[in-house]
Amino acid sequence: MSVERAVSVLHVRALGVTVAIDVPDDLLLGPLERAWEAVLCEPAAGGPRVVTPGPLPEGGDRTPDGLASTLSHITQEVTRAAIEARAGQLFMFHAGALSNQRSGATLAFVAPGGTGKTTLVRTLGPGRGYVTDETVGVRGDLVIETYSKPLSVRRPTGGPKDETSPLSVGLEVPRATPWLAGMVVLRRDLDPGLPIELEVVDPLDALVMLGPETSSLARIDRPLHALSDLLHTIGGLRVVRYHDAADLDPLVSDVLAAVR
Amino acid sequence: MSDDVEWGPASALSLRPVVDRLDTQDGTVVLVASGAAHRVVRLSHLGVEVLAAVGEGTTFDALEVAMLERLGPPPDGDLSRAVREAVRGLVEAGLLCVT
Repeated sequence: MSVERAVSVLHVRALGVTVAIDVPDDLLLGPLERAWEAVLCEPAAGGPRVVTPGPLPEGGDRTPDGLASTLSHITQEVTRAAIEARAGQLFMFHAGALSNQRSGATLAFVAPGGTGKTTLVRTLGPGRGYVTDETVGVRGDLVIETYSKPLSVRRPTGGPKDETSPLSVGLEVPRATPWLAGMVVLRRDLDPGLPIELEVVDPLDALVMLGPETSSLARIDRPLHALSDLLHTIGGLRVVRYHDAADLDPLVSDVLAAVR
Repeated sequence: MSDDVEWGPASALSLRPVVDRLDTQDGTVVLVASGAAHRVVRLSHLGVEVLAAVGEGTTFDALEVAMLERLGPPPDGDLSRAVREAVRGLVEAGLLCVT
C-alpha cells in the first residue's frame, strides 16, 4: 500500500495573476515562504502553476548554495509563468520600478539582468513602493500590475544569489495602485563622482531600444503603435547614465512627484 | 537562399510578413517576429523604398530599374552594389527573402 504525501502549495501574486507553487519538498517550504512573503495570497482558480523539485535523493546538494540555486530557479519559473499568463494583455518590460506611496506615480528603469535594477531598488526603495526588480507589467491605461518578488541578492563572497524577501531589507509593497509616470533606460557607465547624464531618446529609436527589453510584445494588438502611444503619454523615453545608484535619487523623486 | 554570393540578376525577392509597422514623418520601424523572439528594426530611407518596390517575385534586375526610377542613381554610381547592400540588410532583418 502506498501513501501519497500531501503537497504544500504556495500562492503568490505576480503581474496581476495568482501563481500556484507546488512544493513537494518540505525543506523548501520555509525558505520559499520567507522569500515570497510580500506577495503571498489566497488561492485563485485558473492561474498558472509552477512545480518545484521534489525531495532530494540521498547525496543530493543540501548545501546553502544548492538551496539558493533551487530558490533562484523557482523565481525564474514563477516569472516565466506570470509573463506567459499575461502575454498579449500587458506591456512587459525588463525593468525595476519604484512608486510614490501616496499617489502611485511610478518610475520604471529598464535594464538587462545583472545591470543595476536590484541595486537601485535596494538603494532608493526605502520609503517608496517596491513594484518589482524584474518585470514591469503595464496596462493600456498605465496602471502597473506589480511583481514584488524576492530580490536576488549577490553575496559579497560570490556564489549563487540569495532570494531575499524585500520586506527583510526595509522595502514595502506599494500602498497606492502604481501607474507609469516615467521610464528610463539605465546605463551604469560613468566614472565615480560624475553627475548623472540624462538624454531624451528619439521616439522611433526608443522603440528599437525597448524592443529587446520587452516580453511578448508581438502578442499585443498593433504593438508598435500601442508602445509608441504609451511612450508619448509618459513624455517619452530617456537614457540615464550614472555610477552610483544613490545619484539617481533626485530623478526618482522628480518622476514620482507626477500627478495624473 | 541566404548567401548573397548566390544572388543573381534573376534571383527573386519577396516580402516577409511583419507583426506591425509604424510610419511617421521621422521614419519607419517594423516589428519582426521569429518564433518566440521578436525584433524592432528602424528602416533607412533606402530600405523603405526597397520594400515598397518589391512585389511577389521581383528580381534584382527589376528592383534595380525600380530603384533608379524612385531615387535616381546612387552618389557613387554603383546601383547594383547599393541595391544588394540594402537587400542584404533587409534579409538579415527578416524583412525580405531571396529565392
